[in-house]
Amino acid sequence: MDRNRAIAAAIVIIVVSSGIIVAAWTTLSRPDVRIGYLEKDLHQLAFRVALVNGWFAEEGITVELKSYGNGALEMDAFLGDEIDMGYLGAAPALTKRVNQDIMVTILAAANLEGSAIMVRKADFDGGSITQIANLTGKSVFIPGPSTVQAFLLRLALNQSGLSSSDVTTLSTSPANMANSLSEAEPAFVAWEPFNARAEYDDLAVPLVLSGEIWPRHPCCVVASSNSFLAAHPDIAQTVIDIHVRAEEWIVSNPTAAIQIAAEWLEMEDAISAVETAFNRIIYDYNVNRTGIEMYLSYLIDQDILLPHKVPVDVEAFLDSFINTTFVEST
Amino acid sequence: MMSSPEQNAENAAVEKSRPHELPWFLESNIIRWALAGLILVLLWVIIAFFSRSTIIEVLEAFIILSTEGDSGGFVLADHAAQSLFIVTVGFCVAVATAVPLGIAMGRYSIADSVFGPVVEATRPIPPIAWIPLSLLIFTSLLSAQVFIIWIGAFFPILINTTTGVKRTEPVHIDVAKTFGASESRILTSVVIPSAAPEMFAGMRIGFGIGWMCLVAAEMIGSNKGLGYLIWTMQQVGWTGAVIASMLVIGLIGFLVSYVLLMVEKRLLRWRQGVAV
Repeated sequence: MDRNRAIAAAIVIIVVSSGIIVAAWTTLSRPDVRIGYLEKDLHQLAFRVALVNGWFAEEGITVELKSYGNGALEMDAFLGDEIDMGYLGAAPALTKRVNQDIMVTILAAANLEGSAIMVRKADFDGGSITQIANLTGKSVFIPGPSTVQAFLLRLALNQSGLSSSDVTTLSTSPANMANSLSEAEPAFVAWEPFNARAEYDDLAVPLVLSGEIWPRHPCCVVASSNSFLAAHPDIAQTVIDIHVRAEEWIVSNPTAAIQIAAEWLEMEDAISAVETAFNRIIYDYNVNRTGIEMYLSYLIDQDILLPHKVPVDVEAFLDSFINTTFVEST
Repeated sequence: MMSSPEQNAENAAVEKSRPHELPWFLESNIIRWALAGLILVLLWVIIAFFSRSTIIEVLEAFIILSTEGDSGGFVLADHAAQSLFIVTVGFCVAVATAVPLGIAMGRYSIADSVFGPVVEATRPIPPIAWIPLSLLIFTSLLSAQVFIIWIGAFFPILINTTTGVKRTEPVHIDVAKTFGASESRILTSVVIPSAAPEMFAGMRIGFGIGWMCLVAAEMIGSNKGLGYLIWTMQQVGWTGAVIASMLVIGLIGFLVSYVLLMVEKRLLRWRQGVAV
């Protein structure tokens, strides 16, 4: 019995001391800011440029990077206090800010446009699908019902005199879309570089670019958790300063930016595809507030927002959700 | 089966030496049920804390999904039916392929030596890792989804069938041979009945794993299904609906497993006779 008690006591001591060591280590090794981003998303090139050029170190802030599979998961990371700031889509930021009360604020845009409705090359070349109206009765892949891409598809259908019920939407990851195309499911809507890659691989061609559907539509943004913003506005300002510098650098140095993008995306074998994708994206740090308001209306109209969570005063909500003073202070 | 008094005494001693005596407070069924309930409540408290959800939200989500449906207009029953359809097809294909192969590998060393290394090399690959390849192999999404379920269900059925066949008492086969039974008769009258318990256990495990692959399979591309529902509800941040869908998956998985167990008990009644 004494032996058993000794073993039990030893186990308790090991578990408790391990917990203390982990907690102490976590506290001691905490960086100035933990930034989330989406892995290999060309829309978030500014972040990669800042990293490659060493601008975070140059500004004297330590950064911990955390990559996520999609914006919704990144929002969950905000909820779990895994990250302080993040590059992610305006769509998941808005949807989960409303539905889950995940308190984040958009501080800057990362890009505008940069998506497209793509159609199977065989169907386009054969002349069976050369315009949006030809998609009637077909299935179209979307990244999810609450994404900007789903909204773009609906806008495109409406602009062609169709409604969303004229096509069937199937949700999947953009990485799977090009390889999933078939006669019954001949189209997809995704962001870059998936579209340019599919075009480069001769699997699909753009039916319509997102800028043609909705000029300067919002896409990825830089957001911060409200608690971090309140506690460390100086660090948030530094991150936004670096972001603005990176955005301007991309516009001024497109060749070098494409090279960084190609290495990051592991598409050095398809540099022309990276260039194509790059040229379809507007790198601009100014937030398109009207666009976000339009998207909010879509979410409400589609019953994607929980009824009791829908903002009563949309303008007041957007005032609290978007803060452009950091960009203006740069 | 008859046994001697010495054997009985020996069995009793073995039984006594086993540490299976319950503490006094666990002797009552009511307390045991209460304890299980308490563990479930504690589990829920932990989940609720981290997911910031309440049981009311989950119930609300369940009712809304059951009556009004999601933004695509599909109610919970549509999603459950779609998932059951995909998993049932994948499971049936797995049974149809794994059982004959398992019998061949268990009975014939040539089949075991040819297919054994292939099975051992492919078995550790997780079903989700097959998603990109499945999209290249199959032209229809449904086939790709069924393939992922098949991958999950196939190996447990195959391994259990092989093991069951290998465990057939050689003396039973020898007796059959002595009485002049053909190979097909030995298979149908001796080997398969002998391996049936392991085969059924493999099917139950296989169905369970196939069911667990549901979320991965429906991520390939769909607009219906419980896995799809979890995936999209996570994206829109409706945690109550995520948990409600998870509970439905768990409940259906439990019910199907229970039904398979009942079928197994009914079909293999002779096992109890042998055991007694």
